[in-house]
Amino acid sequence: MRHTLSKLLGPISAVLVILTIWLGLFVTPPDVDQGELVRLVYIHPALAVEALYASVGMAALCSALYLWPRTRSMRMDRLAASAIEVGVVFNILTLVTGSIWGRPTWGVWWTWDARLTSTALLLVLSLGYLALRRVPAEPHVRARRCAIAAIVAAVNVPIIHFSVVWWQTLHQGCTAICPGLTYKIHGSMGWTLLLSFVAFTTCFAWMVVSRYRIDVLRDSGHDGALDDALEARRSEGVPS
Amino acid sequence: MNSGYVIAGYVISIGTLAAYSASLVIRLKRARSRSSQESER
Repeated sequence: MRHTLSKLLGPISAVLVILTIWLGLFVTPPDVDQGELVRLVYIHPALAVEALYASVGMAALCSALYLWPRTRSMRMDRLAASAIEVGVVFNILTLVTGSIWGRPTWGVWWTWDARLTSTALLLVLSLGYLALRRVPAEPHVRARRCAIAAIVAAVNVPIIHFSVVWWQTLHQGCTAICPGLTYKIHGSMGWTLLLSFVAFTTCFAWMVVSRYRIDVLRDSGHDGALDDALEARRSEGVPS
Repeated sequence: MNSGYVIAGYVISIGTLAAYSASLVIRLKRARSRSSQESER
């Protein structure tokens, strides 16, 4: 059942993303203020949600579970690593699509605004996490180091979220779901925006599951190779 | 004029996600074949 669901996740996410593109580019009307540029809003916030909350949130949760002795498992470490790697892709796309939207709207590709800078900092922290994974170490030592790094990176998420409230920023405040859970975008624009969140969340989930499987298969291969090497070494030590 | 920015945003985003997805599928297939070779040995 679980295997079938994860197999379906890829095609479902592809269909949902294609539907979002079709609605975003061809069905929804241009905005009164933003004109055609509003179409970028159907991808940028959804990419950002995956990069910030889904990726780093999942990595921080799995890392905390790894550090907790009762729930310590290499599964948690692998899941955190998968979430961060996929999150890096989404974070880069968040910055790129934001920059493409910012050029005609603000007149600049980039500005050292609190929201933009803190998001870029998260990308640097995520890349640092991935670099830390490549430092040679015992698997559990590496997992512990990386778990701490993921939790440190997660501290940046509330800073990114509240940056538009705490500081004067060029980036607008809440766009869709505002305090009191009021939904500010209606009609086909609202539905397309909601669909984009579902589509990119499904896409993110499929990517994390696939990335996790690669790690499981690779590690099982390594373990097998290690067992073979140990067996060969033991047989060398046996007197004939 | 602005539709150029929109098209660029969509092409870059969807293109990157498609390329990354393809890389995951290829890596998964390689890992599977390597794992099955290991188990055969």
